[in-house]
Amino acid sequence: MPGVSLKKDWENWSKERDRFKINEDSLAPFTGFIPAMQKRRLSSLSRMALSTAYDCTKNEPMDRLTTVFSTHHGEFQPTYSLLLKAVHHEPFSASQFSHSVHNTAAGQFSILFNNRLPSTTLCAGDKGFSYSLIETLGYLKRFPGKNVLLTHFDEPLPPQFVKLEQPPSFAYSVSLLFGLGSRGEKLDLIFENGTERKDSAGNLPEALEFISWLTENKKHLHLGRDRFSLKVINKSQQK
Amino acid sequence: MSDAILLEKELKTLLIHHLKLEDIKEEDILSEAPLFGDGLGLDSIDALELGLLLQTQYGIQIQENSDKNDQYFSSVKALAEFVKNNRQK
Repeated sequence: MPGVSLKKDWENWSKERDRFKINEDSLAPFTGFIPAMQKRRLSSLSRMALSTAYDCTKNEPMDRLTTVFSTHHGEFQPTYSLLLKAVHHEPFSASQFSHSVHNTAAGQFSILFNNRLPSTTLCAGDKGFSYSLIETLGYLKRFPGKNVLLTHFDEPLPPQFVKLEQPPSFAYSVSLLFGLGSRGEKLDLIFENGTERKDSAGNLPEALEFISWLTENKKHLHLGRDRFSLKVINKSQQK
Repeated sequence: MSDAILLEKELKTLLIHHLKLEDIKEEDILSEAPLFGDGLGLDSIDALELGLLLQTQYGIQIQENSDKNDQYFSSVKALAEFVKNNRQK
């Protein structure tokens, strides 16, 4: 999220998130690690996703890292701009076209860090983060000994599309590193297929609900607002 | 300044803008240096962008699979010569 990157920033945001004012200009994501010739074609969305992914993995061995990327709307801005060109019968830009796919960030990550291990990019509507946790668990079981980098990211849509979907009102990207080892927080995932919940934490995207929960040192979290929901338990916490 | 030099300057500015060469200035591009590979370091996607640029800016339609394309795209100087001889606008 612009201006929120360190653990301390997230804690401050979590404490006063209703009042928290995001200044979109305050901090462009750090992208100094991307060579200029590669960076020039990246959208703001991909830059942001790669920035958090880099922050999360800069000390990790890349040959032991599989990746799950997840985004609801993906590269919507470049796609929209191409669609407008199609409507006006204008020629397409090859560079924009080649970077307008859902797995742009995943592809760029693999090139940038020479990571040739399996990678998935999900789109599961506003439940993308829940499903990406399930995908992450699948990867952990399927590729023993390899950690999983999960990156979930989205940005606002052009004003014309706001009525159709419920896009986030600000850009954000969350990267988390999962492993089956003994480091870090210990989490349990339980899938629940039950009745609709009404105790949701407002309109916060799931990934940010998750981060907020982590910073509050709480034990239980429910993700998902309809029949399908995912219960996350932090076994490192007492209550 | 001669017309040829002016056209080269114009092309350099267009290249920087259209290929989003963020950290490069017009004076950094040498007219004789190769555009692709070792010189400026452009790639195959840039070649397509360049084709589009010539079409929209100068009305030049590039022939696909023409052996001469390599020659036209070899440097800013060569490109300027090509534009001068083939421009429709």
